[in-house]
Amino acid sequence: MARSRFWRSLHALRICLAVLTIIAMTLAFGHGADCLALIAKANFGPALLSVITRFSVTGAIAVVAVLMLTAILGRAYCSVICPLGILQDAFGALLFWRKNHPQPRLFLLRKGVGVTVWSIAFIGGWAIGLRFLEPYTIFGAIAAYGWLPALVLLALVAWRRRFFCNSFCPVGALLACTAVHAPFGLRFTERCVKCGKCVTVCPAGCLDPKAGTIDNGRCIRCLACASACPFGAITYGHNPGFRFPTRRKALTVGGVLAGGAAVGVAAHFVSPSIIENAIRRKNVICPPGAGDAARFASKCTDCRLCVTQCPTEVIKPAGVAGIVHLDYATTGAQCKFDCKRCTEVCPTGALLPLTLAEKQRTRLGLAVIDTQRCRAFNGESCEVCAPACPAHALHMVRREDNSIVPEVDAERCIGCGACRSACPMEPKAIVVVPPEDDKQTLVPPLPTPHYDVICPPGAGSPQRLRSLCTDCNLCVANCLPQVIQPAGEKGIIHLAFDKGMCEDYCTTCGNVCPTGAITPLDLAIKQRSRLGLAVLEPSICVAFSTENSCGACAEHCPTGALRMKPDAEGHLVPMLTTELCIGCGSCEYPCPIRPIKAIRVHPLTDGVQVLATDRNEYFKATEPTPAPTSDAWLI
Amino acid sequence: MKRRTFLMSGAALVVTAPAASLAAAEPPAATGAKSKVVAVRGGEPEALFRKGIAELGGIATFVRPGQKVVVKPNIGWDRAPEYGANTNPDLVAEIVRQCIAAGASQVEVFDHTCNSWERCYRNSGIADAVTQAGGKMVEAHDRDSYREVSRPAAGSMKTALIHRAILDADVFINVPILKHHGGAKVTAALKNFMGLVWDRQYMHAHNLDQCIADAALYRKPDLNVIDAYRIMPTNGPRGVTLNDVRTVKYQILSTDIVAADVLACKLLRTKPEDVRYVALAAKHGLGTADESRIDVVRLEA
Repeated sequence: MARSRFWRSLHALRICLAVLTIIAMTLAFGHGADCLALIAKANFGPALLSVITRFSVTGAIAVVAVLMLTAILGRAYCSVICPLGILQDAFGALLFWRKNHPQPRLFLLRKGVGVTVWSIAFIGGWAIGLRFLEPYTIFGAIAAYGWLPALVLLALVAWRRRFFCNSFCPVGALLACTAVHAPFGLRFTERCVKCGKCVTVCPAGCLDPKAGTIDNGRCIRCLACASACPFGAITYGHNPGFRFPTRRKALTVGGVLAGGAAVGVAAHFVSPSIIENAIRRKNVICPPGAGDAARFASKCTDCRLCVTQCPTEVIKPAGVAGIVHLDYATTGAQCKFDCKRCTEVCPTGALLPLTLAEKQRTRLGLAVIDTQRCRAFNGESCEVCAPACPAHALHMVRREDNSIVPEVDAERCIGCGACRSACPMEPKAIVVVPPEDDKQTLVPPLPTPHYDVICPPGAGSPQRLRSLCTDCNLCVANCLPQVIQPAGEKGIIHLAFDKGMCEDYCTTCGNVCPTGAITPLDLAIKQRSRLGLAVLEPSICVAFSTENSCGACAEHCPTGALRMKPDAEGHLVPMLTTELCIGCGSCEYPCPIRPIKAIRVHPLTDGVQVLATDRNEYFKATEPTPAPTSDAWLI
Repeated sequence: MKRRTFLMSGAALVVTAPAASLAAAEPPAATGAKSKVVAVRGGEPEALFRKGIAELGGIATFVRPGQKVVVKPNIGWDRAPEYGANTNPDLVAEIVRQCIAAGASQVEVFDHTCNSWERCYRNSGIADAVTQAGGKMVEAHDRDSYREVSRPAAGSMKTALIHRAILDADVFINVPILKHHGGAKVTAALKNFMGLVWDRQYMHAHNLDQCIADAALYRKPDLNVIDAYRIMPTNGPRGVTLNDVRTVKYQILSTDIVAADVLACKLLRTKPEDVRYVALAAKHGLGTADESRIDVVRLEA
């Protein structure tokens, strides 16, 4: 009886491991168990598929490990790792009153289905067979609240327990092939009294005590038989392994293999056009890393791991004949800019792993504004969408009629739906359409910001501005003198004084900035905030070289930093009091010298906007000449 | 007469004859009557204007029923009235009211501003005052509002884009404010003409003083009213702090733009000879800079 106790404890260990696995897998398909999602990659089906789809090294390691495990221990994978197998065992335990029966070997069905599914995947490049038959995928469909597959499975289990595993399962077919030819296996010893107790507990129906044989190909190593045997008559030992088949059998197997391969070749020629047509009709937006939609549809098994892992729940399952897609319309959610969870968890390689930088540049679709619906296009003031765009692709622009409306930069839009989700209209005034040719491409990277620029008052420094600014261009559109320039090639909002100057009494840019990149300043502070420093070039200034005291710069200077003062000969020339200068461009803009102006505002050396001397304090000393006390006429 | 004396006087004649003919070409200084300038002081801007215009014969002398009037104040800067950078809005409103009372068919008011035009019009208080008085604020920030005109007599600016309101009006009333100016030293009636030219930068670059004198050639104002209620003796024309402003409650009215500016210079304690554009304008025949030929009428409001 010692042996029997050994098998019983081993059986108990197997059940414990199986329970742990299924709990982990169930949690992986729920929320809040991020690391568990990686267990999915250890599943044989997805691992092998990921080798096909993207030459995944981890997938290859998992495949080799499972095959080696199977060669030594038989199909232990099916009873300890495969979540669907464990689920069937659980269903079986619920139906404890039903006895198990021996099952037909179904050798050709199993082999035929297995070879067809895998050759369609390998040769045809189309994972459709796996989508409907691969056990991990089916478990995913059930875990993501798929009642229908659960009921079908329950019925199958009630009828013949692990019937699925030895008839339709493509993973089971491969592992059976390995296990049946492995050097080790289970067998009856001479202690067997053919009582048949083992047969009643075997879910795979692979025991034949009368003939004294155990089919190691079908055996899923649940160890129920050995633990149930009162005589310890089932033992682990030498397996006859590979034997040369009879000619008849060899021909049959060869025929099945050839037939499956032929189907695979046919699938190779059929699949692309079928898939593409199907997708074109659906007009869907694929998750990041899908590459082109036809490729994604052919590789994805709809296991729904990404669906359940998506933090915004924007990814929706394929359904029977669809494709896993982003559903902005019904969820109202967006594909989060800082998230690439779906590409991390995808076990099949259908979603290619992307770095965050790549994902943030991946064009999923294109936002299109419905001008009929958009409030801004209909005379109302609404500027919600542009600041929400994380890709710097949505700008507010001033139109000829002075209305400020959003405009999508199609070059930069990644179709993440952030604008759509921010849009206050119902139904939304922004729709995201799939990219051209349904192919995901990379948008150009944002230009490296130039930090030697003049920033709007309240920006603090170019670095601070860049870190907070979303390029919504509200400040640009609202700057009436057109001083604030869009980021453009400089990669950062900046000032240019070609068309105007930063008006002394204006704090508009800080007041309209929705992101806080430009801090709203009190007027008194704004009038002292140094944006840059004026630099005068006497060699080209007309006041220095001619009799003409032009005075355009001094005339406009609001701080008194630039004033016309007599030189040695009593001729009036501009003189700069640097401590008062705020770099507002009031001198650069009106300077009439061309092509290079005689006075220009240079960016601050360290970029940090500091307070210039208070003009009121500076000029306090110069009291105005007192009003005449006498009544005499001044003229 | 000695031969030597005769020859010398002959030579002198040869030398002075062209000069004499030049002097004769200077109207009205050489030939006409004295230029009348009315200086009023000691009251609010409206009161000063009422007193001054009465001395000049009342507004009806200048504006006849049905005429189109343009009033050109200085609205150059985005500053409140107390900073004295723009013409007093009460004065502009009073002029508009009187013009309308005199039967003007329309009174347009504009300036080509230095700061953003919307802010200048609004914050100077002039837009509101004019609209309430029944006048019309005209936009001047658009190049399409200007028409090209040429004046071959000009010294530097021989062609210019001039605001159509000036060119189309029957009566042009020039209402500047008196301020110091960094480049031109004083800004008053003549300097106010920069606000009706499109390309201000051209004027700065091509001899500012000559261009200011040239600008006045494009349309002679029918009346000049220099607002000297608040004057800006330092840091003009924009002013930095309230220290730059002094309230003296004066007003200078004249049909002679040069004579008005001469008195304005004196009020700002600047010698008219130092302000080059005054002499240049006198040379154009726009008025007299000769103080002996100016008849100043001083009134208390």
